[in-house]
Amino acid sequence: MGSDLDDGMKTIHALRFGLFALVLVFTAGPVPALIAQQDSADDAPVTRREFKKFLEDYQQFRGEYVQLKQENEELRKELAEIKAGVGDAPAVDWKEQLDTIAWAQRESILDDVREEIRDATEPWLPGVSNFTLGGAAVVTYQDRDNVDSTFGASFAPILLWKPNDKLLFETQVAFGLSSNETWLELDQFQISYLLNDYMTVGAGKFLTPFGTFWERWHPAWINKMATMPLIYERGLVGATSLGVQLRGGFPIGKTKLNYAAYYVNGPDFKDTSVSSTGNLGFENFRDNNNDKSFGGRIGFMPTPEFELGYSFLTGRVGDSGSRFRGTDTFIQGIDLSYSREHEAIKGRIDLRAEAIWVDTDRAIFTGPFDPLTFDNKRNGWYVQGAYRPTLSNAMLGKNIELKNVEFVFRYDQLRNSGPRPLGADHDQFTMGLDYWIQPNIVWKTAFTHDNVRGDKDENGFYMQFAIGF
Amino acid sequence: MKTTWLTALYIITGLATVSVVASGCQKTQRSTEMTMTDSDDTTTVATNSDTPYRAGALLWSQNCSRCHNLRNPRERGDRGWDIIAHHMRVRGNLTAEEHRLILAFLQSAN
Ligand code: HEC
Repeated sequence: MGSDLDDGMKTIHALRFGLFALVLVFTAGPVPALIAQQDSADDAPVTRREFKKFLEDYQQFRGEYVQLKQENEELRKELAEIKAGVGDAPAVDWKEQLDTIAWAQRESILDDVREEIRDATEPWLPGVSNFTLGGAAVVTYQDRDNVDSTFGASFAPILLWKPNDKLLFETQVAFGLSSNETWLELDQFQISYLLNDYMTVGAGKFLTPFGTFWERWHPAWINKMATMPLIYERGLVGATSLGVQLRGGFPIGKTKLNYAAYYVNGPDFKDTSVSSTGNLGFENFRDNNNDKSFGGRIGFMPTPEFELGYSFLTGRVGDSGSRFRGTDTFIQGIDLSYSREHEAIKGRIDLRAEAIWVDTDRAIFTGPFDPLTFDNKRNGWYVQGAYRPTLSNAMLGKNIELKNVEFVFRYDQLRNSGPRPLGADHDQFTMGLDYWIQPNIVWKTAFTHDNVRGDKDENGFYMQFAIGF
Repeated sequence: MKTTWLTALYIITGLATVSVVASGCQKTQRSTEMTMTDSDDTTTVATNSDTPYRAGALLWSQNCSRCHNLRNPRERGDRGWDIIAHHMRVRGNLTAEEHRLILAFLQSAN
């Protein structure tokens, strides 16, 4: 605003100066001429023509003088108006500018204060400085054919402790409810150490690095379906393993390779109940034999959003000293995943597929049936696709944003080589609809149609509410 | 977050100064003048001083959305992210370099 006023002032000064100069010219100019005339010809009379000319000039100058005086008066008025801030359009812009600056400053100060409070309080919360919490809380409702419908709930916090830059302790304890009791389980416990930029060693009870589901997608706030893929739900590979692992990743040009190798107690053999005869068990916390199992996974990522993996696990499964002491198993798997946001479809697409083959040595079982032997193979696969319109701004009703809705589809297949009732073959379709309240809070609904070979179809309806910490 | 606001503050203050001068000299062209200065300033500041921050942000958006939804950087404080980034480095088989850049991003965006 100052400069506008200055400009006004400048103009007025210029005008005043012009006026002054004019008056000067008008008054002083002719005077020396007259004097000069007087000097040279003191007594010479002024001719009428000369006088007339002088009079004309005088009248013209006077006219101009009056006009300038008027203009000067107008400018004075204008200046007074500007000073009073009347009709000053650019002032609005300036107010906005100043407001924006003030706002930014306020925000930045607030941020600093927030940060300082956080820095100041973190060490005071007892022991919090090296600890943090993760984990999940889940409530599920399921209504399946042939089974009574039920609610279920579990709570599984993860405690992370990082005593120094190389070491990390992870402990997950799960609390749950079943039939008429509460259960408590040590889900995960691992101490890991960063050996170098591309390699970490870990020991304890860790999620089995076989395929991708257990390690990456099983927590309920991550899993897009309220149910698990059949190959994992029916225990072709166990969720956790007890032992040691070596893992990491490294770039190869623009692509990336990641790996995990582990040496663990490994699976044991189930021959006690009719429905699970010949299957593998993975809760082998005190190994049933002297041979440890060995496994690994290698994943190749040509681009950050695409990964192709191969996994295997091999080991002795029979109890030492038993009939099955020589029985081994060899499990292999492949996995594929792709996840990316696309402008063209206004959202994120997420595709996963996994297949597992279990090949356990032939054995002779006895039990409530005649001695029985069969080629002990189980295998299965699934493919899951999900789409979430993350880039859409559409609203469904007042409070529901379309971008938080996710549509999921999964097809599962499971095959058992043993005779029934040792295991049934399944072909299962699942449709799911999720609503993401936050990135870590989800409400899921799912409907499954399970086509069981040689038996009645089984349908199921699921609802699940999950929070990840 | 702090850097972002500081940058914004610099840009706005710079803009304000430029417009004060510009409005004195070129009254008629003020509005166009301002928008041009605006975009110029933003790009220079961003490319000159924020390259590691940008690399971290890119790695974060690519890697941390692979297994689950991207978690909000504001969820945790610096210390919390330090521990979780370590956890996720092990879980996601990230390299030390990826870990470092992502952590730096999270700690400045929280
Ligand atoms: C390989 C898959 C994978 C990748 C990549 C990944 N996460 Fe996770 N994240 C998980 C899983 C699985 C959990 C649940 C923890 C568990 O069950 O052990 C988790 C948990 C978390 C949690 C909850 C706290 C905790 O540590 O458990 C946060 C926050 C998180 N991830 C952030 C990140 C960030 C940031 C990145 C990028 C550096 C990232 N994640 C990359 C799989 C992944």
